[in-house]
Amino acid sequence: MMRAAGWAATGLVAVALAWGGAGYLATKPVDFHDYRVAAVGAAQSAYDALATASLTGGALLAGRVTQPYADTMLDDARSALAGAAKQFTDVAPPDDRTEAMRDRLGPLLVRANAVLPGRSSDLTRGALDAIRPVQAGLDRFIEDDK
Amino acid sequence: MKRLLAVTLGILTAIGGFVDIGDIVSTSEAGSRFGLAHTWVLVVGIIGICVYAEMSGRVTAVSTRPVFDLIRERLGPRVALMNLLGSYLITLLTLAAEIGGVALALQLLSGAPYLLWAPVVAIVLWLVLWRVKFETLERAFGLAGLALVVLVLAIFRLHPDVASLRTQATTFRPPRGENWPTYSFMAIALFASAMTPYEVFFFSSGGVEERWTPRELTISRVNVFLGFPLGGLLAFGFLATSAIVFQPIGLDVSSLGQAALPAGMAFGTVGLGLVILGVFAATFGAAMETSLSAGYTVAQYFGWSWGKLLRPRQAARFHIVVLVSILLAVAALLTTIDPIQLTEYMLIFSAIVLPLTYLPILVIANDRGYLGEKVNGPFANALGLIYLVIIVTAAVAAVPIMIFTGMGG
Repeated sequence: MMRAAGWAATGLVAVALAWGGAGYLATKPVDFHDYRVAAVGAAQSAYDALATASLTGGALLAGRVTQPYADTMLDDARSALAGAAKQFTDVAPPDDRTEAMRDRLGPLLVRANAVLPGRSSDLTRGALDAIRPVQAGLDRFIEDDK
Repeated sequence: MKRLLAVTLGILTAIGGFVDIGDIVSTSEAGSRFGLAHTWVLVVGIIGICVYAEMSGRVTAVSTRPVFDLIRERLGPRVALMNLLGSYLITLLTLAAEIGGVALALQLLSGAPYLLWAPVVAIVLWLVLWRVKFETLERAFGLAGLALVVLVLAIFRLHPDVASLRTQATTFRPPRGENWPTYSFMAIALFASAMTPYEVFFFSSGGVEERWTPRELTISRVNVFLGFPLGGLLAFGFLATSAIVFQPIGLDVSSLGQAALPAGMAFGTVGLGLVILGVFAATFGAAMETSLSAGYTVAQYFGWSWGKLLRPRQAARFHIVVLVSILLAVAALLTTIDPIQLTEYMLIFSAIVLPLTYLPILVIANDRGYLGEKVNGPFANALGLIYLVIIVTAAVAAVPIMIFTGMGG
């Protein structure tokens, strides 16, 4: 009986600690580190989306992958980019340094959205060339702020 | 030919265990971020699953009863219930992820959204499990899963920098730009994926379905020592091709389509078709394994009739558990939860329940009442204990590392 009560008390304390910890993490204000992590994560997701489109486009133009496959890859890339943009805009910059970060990454995400093809039929040499500079810009951002 | 086909149970179990949807994506992600730095984890995982699958196969062949049945009898209903709850929940999550994996493979072929495919896959899965013989299933899906060997061949076709790959494979630390916590997180996920609990229960129950007796001890061992390393080799194909294609450009793999791309780059549409066929077979095979495992463990715990050797009417409760598990899994998928994310969580929670699965197996494999002279020798016990320490370490570290790294991000 005593043993069962001991286990129950331990369980309750563990749940209370987990609940309190989760509550703290969910409500603590965003600091520079949090913002940097969110921004770099968003930039990496956007970079991955563009790199995926670029590789898929190259393979499609060389006849190495099928159209339904390329369409699926582009759908995934667009979803990943939308997720990245949301992840970035959901967090407000807490100070001047992070505002500067936002001013550098924001336009890159807008350009990424503009150059990412919507369908496999849009994957032309020109479209792939347009992706490269934006991809390079995102890569620089990640390297500088990681 | 019959002898050759006798190892398909091991091949199917290993392909399901090593290259199911969770493994494909996590192994490819590991390759794209860390190169070949986790190769040692695959090796450790292959040896670990061989150690415990050999014990399970031996227990089944000698006692002609499945491991879970003996766990309940030997360790009592309380311990077996903890084991059942832990393994059933993980198996159910895995089943949902596998149905999602099959649907994602069909999406890559057809272009139609995977959520449209998921209910179709669930219905076909149930019909196949209801109507088709166990041996036919394991042969068809075990052998079709071998199409994934195309990725192993792609390693050579992609003309990698061999010296660089060798350095990566022999460097047991994270590469530049990555840190120890994320490296450890990925190592735990890969280890857990190799040791997924349902593998040993499926393998052991499959042995009973194939009517193994002590005379089949050699077949059981050939299944283990051929099947699981083969599954590990196929997983290495994903790790290495991602390391070759994606790591140099800094692309983190997060989808099934990305994991399949190197096959297309190496062998064109034929290579892509083969890898998608292999993924389809591996994930459908894993969906079958997990559905049956769910039924096996529950039925064996409650002492019901079970298995595909019996007519469905004779094992009605077993088939109902299988059907309900499939329904729960597809319902979870239709909430639009991302199957890839689901697999990532599944792997970490799987690491937590691993001790509940493997400690009882070690106990049973040392029980002379069941195994007579075929109990573990000193070597099997030494390996079993070493792996139990690794398993417990992974289980304890899993959640803190998951929280600390934000799921390895």
